[in-house]
Amino acid sequence: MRKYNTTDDKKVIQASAGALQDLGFTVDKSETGLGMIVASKNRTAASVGQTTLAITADIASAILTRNYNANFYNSTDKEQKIEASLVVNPSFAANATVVRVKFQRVVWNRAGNVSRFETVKDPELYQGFFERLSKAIFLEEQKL
Amino acid sequence: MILRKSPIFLTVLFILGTAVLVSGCASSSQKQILATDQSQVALRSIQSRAFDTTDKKLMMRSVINTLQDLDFLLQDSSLDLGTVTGQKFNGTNVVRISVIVKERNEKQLSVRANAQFGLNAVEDPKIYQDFFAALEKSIFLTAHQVD
Repeated sequence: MRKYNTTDDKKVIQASAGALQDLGFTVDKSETGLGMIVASKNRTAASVGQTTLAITADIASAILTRNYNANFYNSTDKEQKIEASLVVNPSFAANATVVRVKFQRVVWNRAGNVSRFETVKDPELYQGFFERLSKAIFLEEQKL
Repeated sequence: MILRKSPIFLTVLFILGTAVLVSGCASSSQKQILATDQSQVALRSIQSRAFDTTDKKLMMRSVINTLQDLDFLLQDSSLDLGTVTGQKFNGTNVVRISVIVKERNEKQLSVRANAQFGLNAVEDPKIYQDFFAALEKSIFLTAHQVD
């Protein structure tokens, strides 16, 4: 959650949509009357570490236990859908607007099953988002 | 005896080695949330154009028509925020595009598109040039580069 010193809700919501576009999100739904935007993007979820470990485990089980059907590789993460929902509200304090955002992601593994649903809780990611939003507000003022 | 066991020892060693390496450099796929290849400003310049009109509704209708010409199926639109989102299937990939129309100044509207192809963000300027070329034809106005 971040507070911006302006009462121009419309400008903030447009800048928020711009910031989401900067991050490659496409808008799924928007309701400007309530100041809400829902956006999403699909990206890879594969990590070199996890994949290497799974392949190693598969090779190891083939060599050690003669089990050639082990398929840890199939259970590694393949892709994810990241969803963002963002709400712009007038602040209780005068002359301010509050932006609140939440990210959620669904991760699928190589077998095509959902391996994880989660709400993103890492503060650093939210900080990063708000840095970009501040920059987006600045850029909108410059008419870029 | 020792020779017969050595592949097992080697494998165990290999697994331990990899595990240590992996734990050292494991990067979470959560980082994808903020990941982009281009800077915020560069991306905006590639994806935006200005048009000499203030008729937002007409502009949005043209965007919708252009997307339909390009085989996109519309998913959502909002006149207030000026968004239009479309989706199409391209073989095994899903292509999604989101366009936002907004007032740039008293005389101009700015139009910004962003797309994803399968699991990747589209950041190739050529794709956006083609999109705006199609939009220009649909609305009979010239798209100005924004910088």
